[in-house]
Amino acid sequence: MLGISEGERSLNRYIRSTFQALVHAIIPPHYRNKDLFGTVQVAGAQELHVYEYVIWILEHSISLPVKEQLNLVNGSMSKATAELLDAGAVQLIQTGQILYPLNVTEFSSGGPFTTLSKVDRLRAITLIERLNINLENLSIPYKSNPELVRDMMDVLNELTLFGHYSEWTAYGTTRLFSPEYRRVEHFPHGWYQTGYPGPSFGYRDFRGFLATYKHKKVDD
Amino acid sequence: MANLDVIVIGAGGGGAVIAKELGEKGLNVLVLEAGPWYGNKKWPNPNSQQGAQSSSTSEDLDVILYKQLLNKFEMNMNDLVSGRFRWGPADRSRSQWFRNAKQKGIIWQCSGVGGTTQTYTANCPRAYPAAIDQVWPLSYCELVPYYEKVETTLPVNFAATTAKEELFYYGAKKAGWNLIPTLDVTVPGYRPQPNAILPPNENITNLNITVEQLSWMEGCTLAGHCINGCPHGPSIDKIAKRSTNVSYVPLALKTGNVCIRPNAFVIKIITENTVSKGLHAVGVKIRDTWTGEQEELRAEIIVMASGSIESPRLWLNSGLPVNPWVGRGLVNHYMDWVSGIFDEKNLIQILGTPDVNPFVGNTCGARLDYPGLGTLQTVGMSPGLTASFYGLSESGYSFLNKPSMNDPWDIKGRLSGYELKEAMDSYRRTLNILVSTDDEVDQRNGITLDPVISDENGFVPVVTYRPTKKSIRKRSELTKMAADLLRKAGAKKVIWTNWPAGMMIHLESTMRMGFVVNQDCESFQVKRLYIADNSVHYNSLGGVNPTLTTQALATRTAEKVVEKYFN
Ligand SMILES: Cc1cc2nc3c(=O)[nH]c(=O)nc-3n(C[C@H](O)[C@H](O)[C@H](O)COP(=O)(O)OP(=O)(O)OC[C@H]3O[C@@H](n4cnc5c(N)ncnc54)[C@H](O)[C@@H]3O)c2cc1C
Repeated sequence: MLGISEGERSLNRYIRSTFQALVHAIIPPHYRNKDLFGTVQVAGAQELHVYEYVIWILEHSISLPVKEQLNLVNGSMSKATAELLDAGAVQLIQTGQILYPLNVTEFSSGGPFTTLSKVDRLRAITLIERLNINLENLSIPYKSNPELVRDMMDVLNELTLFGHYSEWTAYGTTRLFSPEYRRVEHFPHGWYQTGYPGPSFGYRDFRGFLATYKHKKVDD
Repeated sequence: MANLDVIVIGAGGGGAVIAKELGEKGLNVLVLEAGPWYGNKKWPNPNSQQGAQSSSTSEDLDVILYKQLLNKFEMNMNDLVSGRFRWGPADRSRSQWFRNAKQKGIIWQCSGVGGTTQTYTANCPRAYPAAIDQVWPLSYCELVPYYEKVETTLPVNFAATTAKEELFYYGAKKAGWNLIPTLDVTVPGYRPQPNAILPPNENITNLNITVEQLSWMEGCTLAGHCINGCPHGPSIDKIAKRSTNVSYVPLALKTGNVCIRPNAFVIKIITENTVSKGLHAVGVKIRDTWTGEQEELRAEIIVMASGSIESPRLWLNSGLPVNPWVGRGLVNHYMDWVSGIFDEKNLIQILGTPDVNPFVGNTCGARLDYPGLGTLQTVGMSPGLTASFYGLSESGYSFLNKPSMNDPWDIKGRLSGYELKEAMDSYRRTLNILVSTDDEVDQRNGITLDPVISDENGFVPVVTYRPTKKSIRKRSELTKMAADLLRKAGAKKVIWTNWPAGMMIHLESTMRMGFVVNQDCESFQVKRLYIADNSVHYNSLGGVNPTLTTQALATRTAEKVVEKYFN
């Protein structure tokens, strides 16, 4: 792409890899029994590009004037958040708490967080959530901001789950457009995975009323 | 606009009601609403184009447009950052409005005509009498005629039964609770949800009429989209779920005395101090959310109905007199989330069907009430929202927090990996219970202004809530009751998510009656300034859903305004 320097490109790769590793740990692909003889693989959040949703939300949730006041103008929320995840990973590694060996090849250009096994990534998040990291060394807006740090660990999970199980994956080629320009291109994966039939006009499962009451007549 | 009698700030749960009531009494009312208006011809592309300035006739309402906009897709409607129902400007290419929440949780409020009732599930219980009598400056008896009026106007009925309600009733009965088919709850028990959802059309099971045809007729179609926006009905004023934009707003417009202006953010209350009137409100300053233009508007009376965060924020940003209770005393029902997963075999025995199908029927069709503790309610939502509710926990990941043998749940905490997959694979066989606590007012909780950060509408609000010891105890009892009910209903697995305290879905009592406003909801310190939203509640109503009480009070306040200033 024109106008993007090598530095920016590798930053983008770093951010992407970090969030890929994140959503992969929260919703990995799995196998489900199809019938007596076979299983089917069910896509996880990484295969469904849910990390792009998480990054999109982080970049779009705060307006520019507020970002300025948070001193976030040149930084980005997704970069700061990726670095936060790395801080947790480094802490986990340095304190000898990892359960599985590091793997530096799974995500290209990723930081320490991406080298952890899936379960260790979630354990790194837990260290961050319990504030067992040095908050002073984090970048803005997380620096010395324990409430935001804790909140963000829930937010990252919540976003991954919402991105995966809502219609977002079905926005396909329009998924990163401004919401007014997104179009649902197919039936959403997460809905298929859960057996949700999607928007409906109605259902017939009417089983009567357990109680009814009469309205009082009210003047005028 | 010449000679305005009343300006109402916000067209949500309370604002739409007081506007209709005042309009009916012949007053000239302007409603200023910060967000968009869905289903009005004057805004054919409400999220991408500015459209007209205001609308004052029900002839502008357009059900076809409404059905196009409320398209039932959960992210499109309810994404907190970019959804149609978010807290933010109509223009969806812009960011949401910033709030500084210094804790885990979410703040779920909507801008737009209808306010947060656009997404609400329309549960309309009355407060528990015991939470009002000898506690509020008003008695329960005084509220009853206003409850009745709102119940008739919306209207409110007991919810129809579908599979998930049947399962809940079955569990409640097995757990030893009695059916309490009443509106005035004085003893614990279970009952169908009193809600503002039109009962199903009599043809709901008539196979000669398609469900699509039904969706153009009067009555709930049991489509289960309450929370993502109900678009079903023959005309705007007959939409099945009675958000105020389809109930009170059409009625307000029909009076011929009410004009509603969306995309108008009130940034200041203007006051004057005269010898005869004292300090009193005379108008507002607004900012057009599309153009940024500012304007001053004047009226005899100003009513704040901007919700429990924005009403105190506006007070504080306007520099109105100091009052130690402005913004303070926030309650949010200290909510929690307990889910039961069932076996096909059991379900067939109990329900005659292999699934619970949480996406069918009223989103919250059944409840259990316990005066003194709070409530349990069934919740059935689309999968994205359901999953995201499993992602918020005070105790972190479930796999790192195994429950002990004596705990009534099998899983505790935030779901991920295998446990999440299992829960979501069982989505159709899941019954979720929302715990809503009779939480205690604490002056330390509430809304303050961020001393540094402001947006185009002034300093942004900081929202804080920590439950008191008593509230924690109550919630803990309720979650155990929920787990017990699910177990008795036959759940093979029970999940306690352990929500963080910052789940802001029912926000109340940040401008409390008796402290900031008097019992007629006029501010003590600024005359001619009234409040008609959840913020005036004296307490959390015992843990019941707040909106009906706000609407009853708004109805009453309209009478008081007329009695005092327009007789
Ligand atoms: C998912 C969900 C489900 C819910 N379900 C239920 C339920 O079943 N039953 C129940 O009782 N409650 C429910 N609630 C809560 C319910 O929505 C609120 O109690 C109710 O909407 C509160 O009414 P209000 O008037 O206080 O505020 P709102 O309805 O939020 O209205 C405030 C309005 O003021 C506007 N506004 C704010 N500031 C300004 C300003 N400065 N200038 C102009 N306009 C402004 C806002 O845009 C908004 O339209 C639910 C809430 C959520 C999020």
